[in-house]
Amino acid sequence: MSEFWNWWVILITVVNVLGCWALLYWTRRMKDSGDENETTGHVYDGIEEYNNPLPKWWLNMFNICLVFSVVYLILYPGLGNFAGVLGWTQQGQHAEEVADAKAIYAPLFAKYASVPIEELSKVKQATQMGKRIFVNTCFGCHGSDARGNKGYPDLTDKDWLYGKDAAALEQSILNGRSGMMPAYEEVFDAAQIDGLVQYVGQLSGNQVNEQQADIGKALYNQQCYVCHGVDGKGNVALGAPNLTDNIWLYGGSSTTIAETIRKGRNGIMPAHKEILGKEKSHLVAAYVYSLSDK
Amino acid sequence: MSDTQALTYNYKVVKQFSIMTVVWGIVGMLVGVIIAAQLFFPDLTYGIEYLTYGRLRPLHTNAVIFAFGGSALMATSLYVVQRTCQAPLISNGLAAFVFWGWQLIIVLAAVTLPLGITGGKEYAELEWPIDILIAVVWVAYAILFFGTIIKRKTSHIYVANWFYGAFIITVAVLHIVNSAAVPVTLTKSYSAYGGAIDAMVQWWYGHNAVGFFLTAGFLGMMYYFIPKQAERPVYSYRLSIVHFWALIATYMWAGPHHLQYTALPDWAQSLGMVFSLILLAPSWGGMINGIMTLSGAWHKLRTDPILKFLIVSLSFYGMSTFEGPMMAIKTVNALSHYTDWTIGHVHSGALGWVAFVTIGAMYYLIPKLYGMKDMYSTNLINIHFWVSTIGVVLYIAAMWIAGVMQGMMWRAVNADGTLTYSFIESVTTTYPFYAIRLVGGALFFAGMLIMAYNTIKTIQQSPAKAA
Amino acid sequence: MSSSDGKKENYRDLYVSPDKIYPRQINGFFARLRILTVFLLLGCYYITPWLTWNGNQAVLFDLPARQFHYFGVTLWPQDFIYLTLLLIICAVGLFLFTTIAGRLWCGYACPQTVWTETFLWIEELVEGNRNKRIKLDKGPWNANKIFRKSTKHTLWISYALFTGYTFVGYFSPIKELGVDLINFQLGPWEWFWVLFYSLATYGNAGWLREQVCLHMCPYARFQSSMFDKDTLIISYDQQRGENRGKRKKNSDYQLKGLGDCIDCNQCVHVCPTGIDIRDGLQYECIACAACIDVCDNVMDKMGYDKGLIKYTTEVEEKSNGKQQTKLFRPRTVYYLSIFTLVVGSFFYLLSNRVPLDINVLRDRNNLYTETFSGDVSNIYTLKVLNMSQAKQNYQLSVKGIEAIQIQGETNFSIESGEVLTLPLRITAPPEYLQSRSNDIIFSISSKQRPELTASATAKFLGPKK
Repeated sequence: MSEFWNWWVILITVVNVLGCWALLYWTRRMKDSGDENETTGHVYDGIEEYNNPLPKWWLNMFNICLVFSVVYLILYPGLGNFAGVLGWTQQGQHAEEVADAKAIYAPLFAKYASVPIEELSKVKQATQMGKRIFVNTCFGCHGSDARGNKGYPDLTDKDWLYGKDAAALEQSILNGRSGMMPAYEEVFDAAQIDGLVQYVGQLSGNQVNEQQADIGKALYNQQCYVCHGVDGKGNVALGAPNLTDNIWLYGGSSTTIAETIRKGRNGIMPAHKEILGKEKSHLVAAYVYSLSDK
Repeated sequence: MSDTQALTYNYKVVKQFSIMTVVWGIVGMLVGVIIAAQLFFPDLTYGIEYLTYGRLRPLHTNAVIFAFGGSALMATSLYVVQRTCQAPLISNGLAAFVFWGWQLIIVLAAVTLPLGITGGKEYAELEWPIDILIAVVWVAYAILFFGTIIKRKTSHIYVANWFYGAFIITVAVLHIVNSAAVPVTLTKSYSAYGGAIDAMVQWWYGHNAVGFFLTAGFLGMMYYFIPKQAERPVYSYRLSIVHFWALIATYMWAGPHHLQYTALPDWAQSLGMVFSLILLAPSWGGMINGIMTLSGAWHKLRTDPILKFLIVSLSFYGMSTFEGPMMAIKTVNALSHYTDWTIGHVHSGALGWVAFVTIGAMYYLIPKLYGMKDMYSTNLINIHFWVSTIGVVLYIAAMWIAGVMQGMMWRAVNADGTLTYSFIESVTTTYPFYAIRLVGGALFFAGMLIMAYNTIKTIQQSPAKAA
Repeated sequence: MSSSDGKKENYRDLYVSPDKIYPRQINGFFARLRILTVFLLLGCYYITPWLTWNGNQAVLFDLPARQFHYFGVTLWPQDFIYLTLLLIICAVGLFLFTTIAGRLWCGYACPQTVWTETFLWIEELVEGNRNKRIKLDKGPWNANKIFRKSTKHTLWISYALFTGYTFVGYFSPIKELGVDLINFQLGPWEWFWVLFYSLATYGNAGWLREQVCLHMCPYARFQSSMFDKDTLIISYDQQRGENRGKRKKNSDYQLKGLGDCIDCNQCVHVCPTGIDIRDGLQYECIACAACIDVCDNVMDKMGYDKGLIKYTTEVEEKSNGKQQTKLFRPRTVYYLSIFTLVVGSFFYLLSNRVPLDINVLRDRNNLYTETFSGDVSNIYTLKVLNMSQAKQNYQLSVKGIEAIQIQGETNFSIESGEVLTLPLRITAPPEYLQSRSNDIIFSISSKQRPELTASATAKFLGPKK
């Protein structure tokens, strides 16, 4: 606030508070003719006015309120740029409350921060804490029950894109993942894609058209094996899905698989290092780990 | 009232505004009951966009504050100013313009708000063409009122007129400053202010709408109708001076308490809080003056239901003006803000104080305007009183406790510091409270219907009508 | 502010302290009734926080934990609806009893009356009776006065501090609080409330007294508007009493044209609000009946009939007792029926209260998904709160659609006072869905105590039919 507005605020505040006192001072006495029931002499449409004295407590209350205000404005910000003797700010109060909360909760998180995830996933209090964070933060994509949705992995099954490995799991949460299946509609024609669909279905043990599957198999071994592996079991280093477990991230119908091959897929898991921090991510990891460990 | 006076004073505009007070009271409260029901039955209006909560809520607030409250203030101020100045209104044409202009504004509000045409500022939702119309009608009203005061035949200006005058001047300033906007189309404009300044201007307006529209104006009403109905002199002239000046000087500051713990700078929040606290004293000064004026006629309370309305309105005025400063204290505000406690507080003022004093004043005024001694049925006034007091009690009790409960649920944390409840859980837990509130609101509304019946019957029996 | 310090005589102060009222203590039926209520109410107030229930403080409003313990029942913020009903019962009860019996509350039960009464007892103990007190106040500040005044205030303040301490003891375990108080180790908020409540008690009961009733209390105003002509009020029998005048005992006063009132002014001396009841009904009258007691004593001494000042109604008064007061009139019936209704629903709800709460939150981001087998699935988070005193094992079920199934835990245990967050997936075959939005009901019951059953409805969404 500029000097001018600073003094303006101070001035009008002081004038208003002192003005209240001046008002009380000026009106403290009045003429007394000795007649208790005398009115002011004005009559308005039959209404007269007494000038009865007021109870003293009302004046005291007014004074107390004014004194409180003066004291408050000395202690706290209020008079323009004057910060107040206590140096209070709402940001400061917030920081203080956060610090207080940290002092209470930090030991609880710290206690678990160094416990390995495999072990932590068996501690009930830890997984409960992880679960509360999960249902607040992760539910949007994975569902509150962690069973996933189309395009968002089910976290309760035995299928792990990046491997059932605690460190990889924590990595996924902290730094996020980006899964990329390239689009092949420029590479393969429709018949070839049909063949691939049949072959991929076959890998997961579904009933397929053998003839088409054979065409698919040949194409697969030219292109797809790079990521998904020769045996179709995927690659946890790349996050390339296992195609043999009949678990389908985007849907397992032949049309959906064809679409996946044609258009490709982009799966993004956002990084939560900044959102949750390491300690909370650790607890979420322990919770998720416990889900597929049943 | 002698016939010669009746001939010279302009009672026509007072009659018109009085009738519309009852009409708009019913409309505004009906909309209130509907939106209260929507909170309990969310599908009540089948998702029709014009009847959604978001559109009806501003209609409710505008209808009860500016249509019901505004008509009541205009009716009584134009009556009181003539009688206490012993001067007729300066212009009957201007009076008619004020009446029809104000009614047009209300009708435009009732059309545009459900259509979703809004400036988005609370209690100032109306779009810029209507805002300009309001400014014009308001200036006309000010000319009418102050012109009559200038022409007065009494030496002094009666205290009721100071309050009405302060209300008229301040509302003009508030309205013009807060409604400053950049028009884009006929039905859309953007506020002239940005960010925290916009919020501050909005609540400087918002709280002074409470302070001057719903308090100063109605104190003016109180200062005429209480001594009249009690047939007692005003208790203390000096007190009226002290509390008038302290009240109008201090109310101006209270706005920032609506923005505690927000982006508003700390100094503004503090000033809002301390001046809200100071406000306790002048507010109670008004209450004491009213109650002590009535105290000389205490025995009449047993039989006179109009006095009952007036005394209860003062009790609610005292309670709300105690509660308000308490809620302005930062620590209390941190719990109460954004909860239904605020709704309870507002309605203890709006129903308990504003509506009760208006109802009392109208029961005094309407028969006088139509040349009768009393309303058609005193018994019905009594019933109205019983029904509405219970309605207010249900409403306020439900909202107070619901607010405290919500505040507690929002703040509840688990052992690990995470929130125990999600927001929606506090909403579902509030359901039974919404039911009680709905019953309370419906009772109050029923009271207004009784009043309407009584008013119609009174007018039908009027000798002027019979002649 | 004394009036003699002004240089001009014809000015007076706008703000005046009211003349101090020195109520005289009296004996009598109503005084005994009040002593009884004072002991009963203050007894409850001071003793309650010390009671224990199963080893815990029986009544404890634990705000930080948001749990309200009341004789073995724990109430939660979710139970605040009972508080609302209680508040409504109090308000309607006040209306009802006021309409029938006037300001009963003010005279016997209001904290302002009750604490003022006890403060007066202390005052009387230290400073003596009414005349002695007046003399003491008028007298110079000698050793005796200083001693008596300081003793009185010390006693008042100690008593007020104990009151404040007791008040906070409802919110913070009272025994630990006592230890902390003695060691000056209270938290800032505990200090604030102990001192605030003490100061309020000391100020209100010691200093402000009747001023609170006269100017501050909204209920006093409210109650008066509930009066009608059948309401019980305290009234002086004008016809019988006038003309008032002094006379010798056993003299034939009626010959001199005197009534029964001997103008002893005792009724004025005992009045805690300093009014003369013989002037008729006044807003100051808190209906404490002190004037009735004292006047009855005087009438006894004079050998006249009691009841020159008595509880009566406008109806009886005006008709000279010929017309009966109507207890049942439209208004009392109206208030009574609302009162009965609210009290009834309060106890009905309380007796049917199940200390188990279930809340169902549907996942917001997804309408529904289809499972591999072709079923429709919806995801919910259940929040189950065990409000009972012990750990419970619960069984969860869902119904509303044929072949509906829960994919997730259905058996679980929750510790007392804990909230369990339970994410669930519900599946149902699409052919059984009636519409896009279907109501389903989750039910949960305790295995140990099957009467602990709660249910909640939710929406189950599916594809367009």
